[in-house]
Amino acid sequence: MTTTRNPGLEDPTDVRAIPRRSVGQTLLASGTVLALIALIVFFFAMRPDVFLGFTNVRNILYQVAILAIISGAQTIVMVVGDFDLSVAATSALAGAVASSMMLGGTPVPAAILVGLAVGVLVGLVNGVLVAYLNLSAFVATLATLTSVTGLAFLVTEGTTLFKMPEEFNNLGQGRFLQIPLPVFIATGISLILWALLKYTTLGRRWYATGGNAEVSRLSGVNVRLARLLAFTVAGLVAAIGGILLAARLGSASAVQGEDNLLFSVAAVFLGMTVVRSGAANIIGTLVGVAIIGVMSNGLNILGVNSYVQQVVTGLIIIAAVTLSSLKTRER
Amino acid sequence: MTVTDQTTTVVPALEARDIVKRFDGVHALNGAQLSVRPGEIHALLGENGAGKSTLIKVLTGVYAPDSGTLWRDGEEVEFPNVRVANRAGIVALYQELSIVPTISVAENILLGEQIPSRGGVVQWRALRRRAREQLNRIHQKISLSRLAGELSPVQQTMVAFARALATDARVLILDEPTASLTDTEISELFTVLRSLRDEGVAILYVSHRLEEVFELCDRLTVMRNGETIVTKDVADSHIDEVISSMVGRSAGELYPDRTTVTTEVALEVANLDGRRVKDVSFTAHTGEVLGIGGLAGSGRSELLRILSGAQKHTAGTITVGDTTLPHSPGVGRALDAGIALVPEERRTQGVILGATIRDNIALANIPAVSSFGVVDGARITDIVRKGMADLKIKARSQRQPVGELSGGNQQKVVLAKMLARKPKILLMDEPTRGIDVGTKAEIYRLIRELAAGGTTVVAVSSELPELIGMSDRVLIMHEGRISGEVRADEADEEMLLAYCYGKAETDDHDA
Amino acid sequence: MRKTFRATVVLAAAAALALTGCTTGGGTGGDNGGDDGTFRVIAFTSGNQTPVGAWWVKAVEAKADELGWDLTMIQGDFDFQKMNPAVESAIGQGADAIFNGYTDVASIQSIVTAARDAEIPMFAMDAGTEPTDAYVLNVTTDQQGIVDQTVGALDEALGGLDGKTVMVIGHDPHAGIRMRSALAVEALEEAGATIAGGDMQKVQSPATGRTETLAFVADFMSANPGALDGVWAGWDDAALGAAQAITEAGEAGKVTGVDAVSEAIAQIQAGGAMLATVEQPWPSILDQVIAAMVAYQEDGTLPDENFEAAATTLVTAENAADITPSDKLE
Repeated sequence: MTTTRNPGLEDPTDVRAIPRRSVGQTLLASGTVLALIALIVFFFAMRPDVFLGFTNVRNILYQVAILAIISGAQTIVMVVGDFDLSVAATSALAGAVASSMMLGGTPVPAAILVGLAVGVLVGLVNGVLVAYLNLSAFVATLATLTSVTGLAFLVTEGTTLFKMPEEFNNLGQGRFLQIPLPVFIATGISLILWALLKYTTLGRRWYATGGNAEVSRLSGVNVRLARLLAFTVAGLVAAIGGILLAARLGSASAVQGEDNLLFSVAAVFLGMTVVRSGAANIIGTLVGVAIIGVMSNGLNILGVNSYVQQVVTGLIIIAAVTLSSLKTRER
Repeated sequence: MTVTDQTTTVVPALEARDIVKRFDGVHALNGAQLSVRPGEIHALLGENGAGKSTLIKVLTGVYAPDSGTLWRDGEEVEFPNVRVANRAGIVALYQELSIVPTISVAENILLGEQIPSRGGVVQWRALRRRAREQLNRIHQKISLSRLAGELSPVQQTMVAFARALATDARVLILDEPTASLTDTEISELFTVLRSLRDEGVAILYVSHRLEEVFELCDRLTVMRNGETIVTKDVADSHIDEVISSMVGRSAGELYPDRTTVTTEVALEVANLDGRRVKDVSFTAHTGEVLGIGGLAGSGRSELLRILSGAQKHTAGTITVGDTTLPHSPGVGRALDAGIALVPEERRTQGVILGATIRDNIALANIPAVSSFGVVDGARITDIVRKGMADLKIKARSQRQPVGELSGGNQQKVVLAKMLARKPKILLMDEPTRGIDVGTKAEIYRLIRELAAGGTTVVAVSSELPELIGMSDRVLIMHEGRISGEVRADEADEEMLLAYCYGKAETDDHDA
Repeated sequence: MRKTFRATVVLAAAAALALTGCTTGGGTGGDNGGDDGTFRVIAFTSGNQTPVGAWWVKAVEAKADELGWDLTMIQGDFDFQKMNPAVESAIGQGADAIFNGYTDVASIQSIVTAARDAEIPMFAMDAGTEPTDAYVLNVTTDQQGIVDQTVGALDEALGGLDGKTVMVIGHDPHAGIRMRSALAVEALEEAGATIAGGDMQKVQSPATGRTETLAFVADFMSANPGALDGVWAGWDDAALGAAQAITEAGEAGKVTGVDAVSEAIAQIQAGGAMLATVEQPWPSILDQVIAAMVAYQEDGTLPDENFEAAATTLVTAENAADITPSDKLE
């Protein structure tokens, strides 16, 4: 019976039983974190008087707070193995809707709730298109991105809305213990999303779906519902980010925060390189957001031309995607 | 068609009666019967296309049968989808599709609705305890917090077993579970399967490896042409007899008469090594049709790909006539040397379905129909007209999209496009797959005409009657090596099948 | 050269109109479609998503209604790949005149060629910062005047510019902003000011102009506390981001913008970091261009000059209340 099958492959299983995390993988995993540290050390060395001072660190945190929230939304969708091109547009629409309602006299909390509902609605539409009508996430969210931006122009009538109530603007501009409120809000949302992904059955179903949708489906995970909910939660979180951006700027236009789409995808990709499984995760995403924020602030401080910054940002995204694909291949 | 289930006293865990399933009017299953008892390992055997996979899909709710009934523990059941079948305790494990790589072992075992939770929050301790219980049942010591994707293939299979057990599976269906396992891992797997059997789980075991079936299984069922041929105890069976019932009797007047083969060597392959191909040497002569057989994964398609330049090889030489090809020549240089491949996946690799017959043929022959980089329409018309006439392609015009043609005519377009290059060696992978019987005969005739005209044809087929009928000589591959060579007029299917299973002689094995 | 070209255009246009008159008007023709053929105008803008662009679309539609023009309005959303072919195919269907609102001549070369081939005259407003043969008339605002006014306002508020540090915010793809921000750098340096960060800061996308400027200014102040005396921004959205950064940092820098949007005017009135902006007289410019088009419609007269730069108004706390914001034009 012992015909030699797969000669040379007959290593005993116990060799494979030890964790197969190679040196390369370890380096890769910590590489992104090392890159962040290296960036910080570099900018600190260039401007030791400024870079790590309280004002500038606060400045960085303030600048990335809203990106962190929107990247959180993107993380959830990418956990289930999709992506959402409409996050930034959804956030702009939610901010515009909430702002225009406030200008129309709606009390601040009610206007915020309507803005959030708009986000949920867009997320639901994305979810239905992707999970139930089986459109590719690319096509579906590209389409909603277009329509949602159009809606935002209708809501703002192409203008920039402003003169929102002081209490609303305070959400984005106020400070507690010298720290801007959006930093606290972003921290809170990141914590909630982290716990949602790590500790709830919903979060674990999202990871199972993203890891292998077919096995999950055959094992009784309602894969469609999981994807629908992922897009819906992402819509809600994106709306939070957008409403906060309107409060932070004290104004709302149809296209504000457009760059958050690209940066959120980049942050999540960077974050995927941080963990062993190569799956999207909140902590990694925050590392990615930090890299983007530190890069932009540091280059501004050094007075680097913004076109050069744009080139460098693209290179960082390429590096991140290459790293995470290397990682998947190694498994 | 005798289904022999003598011990009627045992209520089968899962039974399929008179299952009929048609696709586009073709019978995939035509009155199939299957009865798996609790506490047995039951082998399901048959050649490719015998209907095994279709039957499994009916059993697990992937397909609904056109007629026939399913019985679970003596009660008639219906499985509208996979989840219902799962809830009834029927779980199929497919080779490539067993685990979620990015989550932990524990979560893999209790995937889905089984994750213990309170108010939506995962109870990790309970999760780990229950996962550990399942692993203990199959005597596995795998760390629960490892990512499943980091496990070895056999460990991944074990995790999939544990999950099936956690869902309280009573019928476990395994499709080629040993395909990627080493011998040590296979014996570990068998130990687990036996202990599950002893717990009363019914196991349906689909495998091409007859030795394994005789080592592991209690009973076996053989299928052919969508019908159940026989069900009997393994102890009462002999491997040769099983092979004959798998092969059956058929053939007919499909095949044209053989033509004269010259002694001139047209293709010489020496000590070829590459992915899935090990130390392969053979020659083919001008005017010869050389058939290559073997089981799926035996390396037969890879051999063709290497010869056509589409896949790299690590050692060995390929000589066409007097010219030895450079190492790993690539498709372009192989074509220049006169080797052309008609690929297996006709619709994706052979033709552009949306393009016209004319464009399909012209695209493959751009150098021949253009001068100084400018395409000459008149020359295309000539080449296409000749190809269509020679091969009797039935189409409205040169400008009919290939996608509108029948499978047989599509295949002729592929042939026409390759023949326009006047190849010395024509490689064909599954030349008649997806083609109706009438056109098959025509393809065989074309192959024979080409051979008579001095072309050497090397054709891979998984259908043994086809190999015997169309070829002058047949090579059989087994795990990358040539395990047998016979003259087609002296070959029979049992002999070839024995070679397919790597058995040199049919009578040195007793079960 | 320009004169000869214009003459050719007039001649050719007359000939072309005669032909189109034949096909559409059933055989009359001769003058510019006056008799029974209506005057057909193709109007296009890429800036319809900006408040001023949206105003322009509505205003042109209203004028066309009033004048009985057959108007084809094409809105490009800054997407020239989409807009240019649309305009070209409209040209192919024939027209008597073309009206370009706010689209830089550099972005519409293919339209210019198509119009030239079809011999249809193109009128324009704010569609390029320099005279060009592409238009029979382009009325825009005086960029040098805008810079003189805004730099003058900074000079006054800072008590002289010599030795002061001023950041300049530009955006190259917009012809007007590109020209005036380059002029501003020149004027500021001439007055002895230092350009913060060494050179003009360039915003990547108008959509994120406010957040990008906010980051530029905040990061600069973070690195150089107390060093920033002023910010000259090429348009109000960017200026508002700069003003917010200064306010948040609690610094004393002053900001000027251009456009006179209502948010900027409100902040100028409130008396914070936002010092001044510039009103560009779009309604009167529109009237001027329409008048030229009407003259052409009546007897084929083309304007004497093909480029005109209209004077602008500096908006400060003193006159802010009297200015109609550009996003509230009617």
